[in-house]
Amino acid sequence: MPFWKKNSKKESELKDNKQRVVVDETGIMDTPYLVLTLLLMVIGLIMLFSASYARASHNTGNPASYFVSQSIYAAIGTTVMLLVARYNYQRLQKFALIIMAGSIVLLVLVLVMGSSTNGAKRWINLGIRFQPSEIAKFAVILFFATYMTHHQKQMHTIRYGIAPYLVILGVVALLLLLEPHKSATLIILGVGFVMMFLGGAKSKHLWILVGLGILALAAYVLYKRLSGGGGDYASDRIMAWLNPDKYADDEGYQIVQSRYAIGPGGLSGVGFGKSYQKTMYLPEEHNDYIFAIVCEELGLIGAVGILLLFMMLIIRGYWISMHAYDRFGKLMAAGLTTLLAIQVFLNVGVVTNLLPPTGISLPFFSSGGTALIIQTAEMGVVLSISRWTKKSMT
Amino acid sequence: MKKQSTGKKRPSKKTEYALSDRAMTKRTFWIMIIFGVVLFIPIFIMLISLMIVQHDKLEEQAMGNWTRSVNVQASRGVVYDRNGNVLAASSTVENIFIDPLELEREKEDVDAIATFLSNLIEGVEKADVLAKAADTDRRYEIIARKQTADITDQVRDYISENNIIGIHIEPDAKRYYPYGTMAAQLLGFTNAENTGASGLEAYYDSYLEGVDGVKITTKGNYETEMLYPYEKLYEATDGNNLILTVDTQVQQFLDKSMQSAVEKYDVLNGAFGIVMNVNTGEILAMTTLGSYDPNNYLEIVDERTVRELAAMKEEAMEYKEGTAEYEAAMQAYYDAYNASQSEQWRNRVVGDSYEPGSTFKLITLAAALDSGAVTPDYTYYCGGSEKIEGREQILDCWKHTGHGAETLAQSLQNSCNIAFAHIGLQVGGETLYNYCEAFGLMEQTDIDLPGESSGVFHTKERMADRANFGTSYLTSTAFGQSIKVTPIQLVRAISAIVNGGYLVQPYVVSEIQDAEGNTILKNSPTVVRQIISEQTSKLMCEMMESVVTEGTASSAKIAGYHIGGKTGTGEKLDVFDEYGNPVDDKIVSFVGVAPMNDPQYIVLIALDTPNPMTGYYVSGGIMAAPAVRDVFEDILPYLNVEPDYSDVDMRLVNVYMPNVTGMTEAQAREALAEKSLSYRVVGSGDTVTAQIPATGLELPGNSTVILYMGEDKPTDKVTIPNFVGMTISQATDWAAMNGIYVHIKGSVSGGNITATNQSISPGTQVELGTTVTVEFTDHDALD
Repeated sequence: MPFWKKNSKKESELKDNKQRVVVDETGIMDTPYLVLTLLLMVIGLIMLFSASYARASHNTGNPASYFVSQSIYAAIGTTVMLLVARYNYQRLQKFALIIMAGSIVLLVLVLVMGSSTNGAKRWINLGIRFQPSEIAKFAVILFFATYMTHHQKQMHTIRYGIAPYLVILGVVALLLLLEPHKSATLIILGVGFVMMFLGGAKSKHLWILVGLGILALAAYVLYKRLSGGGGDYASDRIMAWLNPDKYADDEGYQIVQSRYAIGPGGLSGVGFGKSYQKTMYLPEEHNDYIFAIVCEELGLIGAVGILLLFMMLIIRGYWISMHAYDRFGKLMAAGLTTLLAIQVFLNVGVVTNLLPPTGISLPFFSSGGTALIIQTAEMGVVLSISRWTKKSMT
Repeated sequence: MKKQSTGKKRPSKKTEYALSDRAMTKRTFWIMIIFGVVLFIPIFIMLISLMIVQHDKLEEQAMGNWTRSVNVQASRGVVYDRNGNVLAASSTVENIFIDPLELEREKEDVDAIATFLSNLIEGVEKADVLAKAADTDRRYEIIARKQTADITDQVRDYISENNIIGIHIEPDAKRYYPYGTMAAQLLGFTNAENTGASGLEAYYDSYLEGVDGVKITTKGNYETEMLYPYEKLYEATDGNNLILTVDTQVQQFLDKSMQSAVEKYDVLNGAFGIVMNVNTGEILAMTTLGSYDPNNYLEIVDERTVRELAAMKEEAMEYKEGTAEYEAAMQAYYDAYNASQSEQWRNRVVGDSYEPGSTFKLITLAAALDSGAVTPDYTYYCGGSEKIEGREQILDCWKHTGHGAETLAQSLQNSCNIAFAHIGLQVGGETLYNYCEAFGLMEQTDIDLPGESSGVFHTKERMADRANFGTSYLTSTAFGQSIKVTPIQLVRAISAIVNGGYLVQPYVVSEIQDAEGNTILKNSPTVVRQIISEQTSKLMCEMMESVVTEGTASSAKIAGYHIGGKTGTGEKLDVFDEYGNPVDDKIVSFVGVAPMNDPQYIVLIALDTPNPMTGYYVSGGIMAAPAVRDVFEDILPYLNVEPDYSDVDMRLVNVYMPNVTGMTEAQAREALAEKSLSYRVVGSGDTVTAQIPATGLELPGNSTVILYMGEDKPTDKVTIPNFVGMTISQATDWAAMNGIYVHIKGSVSGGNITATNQSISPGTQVELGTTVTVEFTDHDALD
């Protein structure tokens, strides 16, 4: 019997929504979810090895250097995931507030002492180097899930169903925009909105929010236009996105190079390891743009295959949410799955030039140790939830 | 229904406001559809669009990204003369260039590199290298072009010793012209990009250049090696070789003669000359003096021009740098420099039209005879000047005392303007115009050379309109003034006059062969049209020969060959000095044909503006005709044209002294008679014990040699006198009395012949029996 199916027979009690809930710790992790996660991690690692080969070789002399360090993180991440999966997710509620507060402190801290790359302060080094925005994403999901569970009966009101979340999202978004980190802002706003929808906020209120959001966006665009138009980082990127060949030397460089990787991939790819674009042409080829190398080497078949794995994982995540034992579990699973889905969509969307370029990594594929560990930890939470799904209870 | 009732167990108020699990599942389901499925649809569409629809286009663009194509240079074709001598060939050299971006990125010591390169390579300035290296946006800055291996190997050593990234060496080709300035304007040159920029190099560039090959390799960015590199080689196709009609030997003879004429008469504006086969149109030689060296085409070669330019630059330097005067003077200097460059590159034989002067009388006469307007028994009277009705200016002949009564042939021999004015009037403006047109003087000859221009004539209407200056235009045209032709046009027209009346197509390239020797293109003699009858042609030949035997071109005479031709002294009517007065510049020329009994070769030499202060009268007969004679003297034997001594004064022909020492007198007499030599005997032995001159020496025919029979040969020396100014008989008498021989060169017929040149300078001590060549000139040949 595999270790994650070990039957502990131990029972514990937890307060949930002022009810005494008996939690059975004997539940079995959702096998499809676990297998999909591990499969994506393994494929991701292999592709990282291939994609980073040339740059690693050029920068460090050891073509496997990025792969080796990522493998170590992957091993740690897998361990973390399985440990978290063993942990009773319901206990997380206790830490919701402190994690939320802590992440806001970190977001403030990063503005003060973060290390700056390309004019943006996104990284902080507290013994380990990580992006506080990654913590904030989890914190918001956890806090929303907890708060919504506690106030699920008042979710139809503005006071409990809308206002607190807007305040939290507002504060987090403001801090992220100060870094600036537009993509993380976008992700957190998206996840937050989805959670409000799932948590029970009134459709009418949400529609008003959508309307206001559109208005704000329109006002922003209008302001940009009137104040001279263009010139700033984001609008240059938009122009380059719409017309990459024209900006091929500067703003459009990544887009053009990404297209040069994806296009030649064709139906079946140039073959594993044989990418031309990874040889220092495509920037971030082992990072944000790793999917372009996947397309080049494995072709449309490989790329669609990997996307199908992601889709299956996402659908399974929502399935777990729908079958979760309690409201908190449902919201956590849905929130974390939505987070994964948005990340994958934005990353692949940017790489394929569907969306304007913005820096988002591809979960399980992009190089980056702490992000991988946080990601696997989040997968562990979903796995933990899956252990008490109604199906597995029987 | 049952389920609904169980749901009602919960307090109604709470279920109304909180989201039920069912409702939440529903909402989750929709979110799942959106985030798990819908969002991926546009991504799949994008992937299919990029990887399938745009696959080919993107792959092609991306190939440009990955591949490095290294040019495999095609070797430019070789230019050969008709005997296989190499006139132009290419060799492989290398260019040294830097990649400023790389140097910057690799943090190389640019200062040290600049010092090294400027010390190693001549013409490379350190500051220049530093300036190029500072432009770090650039990837390619040439430091030195076309360097040979001795330089580039040192650069390679430097690169590897110091591990420098950013200095590169690429192959290039250098064009070599082994004969230097010879036929430089004809051959042309290739520019820095190895493209033919002038002359044959430009005209036949597409044949010569070949097709560069390319070696395609994939390289990572920053030239990193790829894991799976791809390589493909497209072989270069070498250029085709040209085989010219030009004969290097003939070309050198022409150059030599022209060069010495230019020096002798201090010709100020250069000269041009051409040797062509009158029957085939093959160009055997073509020269423009004021030449340049195509190996180094940017450098001004003409010494006078170099001095003038240096003076201009010096003048400019006297102004303070940055002032308007300085800028203007420098600009003038650069303009003059560029103009001098273009000038020395220009092939005047095809590119420039000039006033042909009296050489044009051949065209007028041919037209007159062929049209029947005149016959050889016509006579004319020249009184020195004449007022021709309809011509407002009084017409002066060059001989102010007048030629008196002349036959048609004599008027050509005398180059009499008054006679030719009348001939022109007899022909008529329209007919003369039509003949000029038929002779191809108003169209390009379509010779295979670039930059050809064409003649300038009065219009037919103006020539025919007697009332409105038509008489002036017609009479001036008739003796070759107020019109212009190009040298190649004139040579072609006169070739037609002598070759039976056929206008031929001149050409320089006889064959083009590919690198393997297969014929790609062959030019063969082409007759464009017949203009005059064979009969007229024959008549013209006789008259042209009489110009040499009896007329203004007596100095063109060569014993044993029938030379014919016509002198010319053209005035530049359209060139004015800085005050707007017409300049006195003249182009003197002679166009000669040989042999007149079977015309084969035509030679034209024109000298642009001989210095009037050299002591020679500025005329074609005195200056250009001897130059053409020298050319014929060299090329006719070389081209195996059989001499004809049947009707020749043997005094004018050199023979070789046979060895008669040891012979009896009878044997000696026989041997000497064979050479048309006579002898006198000193002493009374049976056999010849010594002879003057020595065996193998050249001496004029009909000379008397001395045979010593038993008596010692005297060892006295003779001091050569100054023959210049002596008549022919004075010179030969002096020689006979002093025991030497005079070989008579140049004019022997004419009114006023004296020696103008001698092969051994006065005062030189020579052995008895030495032959001195003395050149005689008819000082009445003032045209």
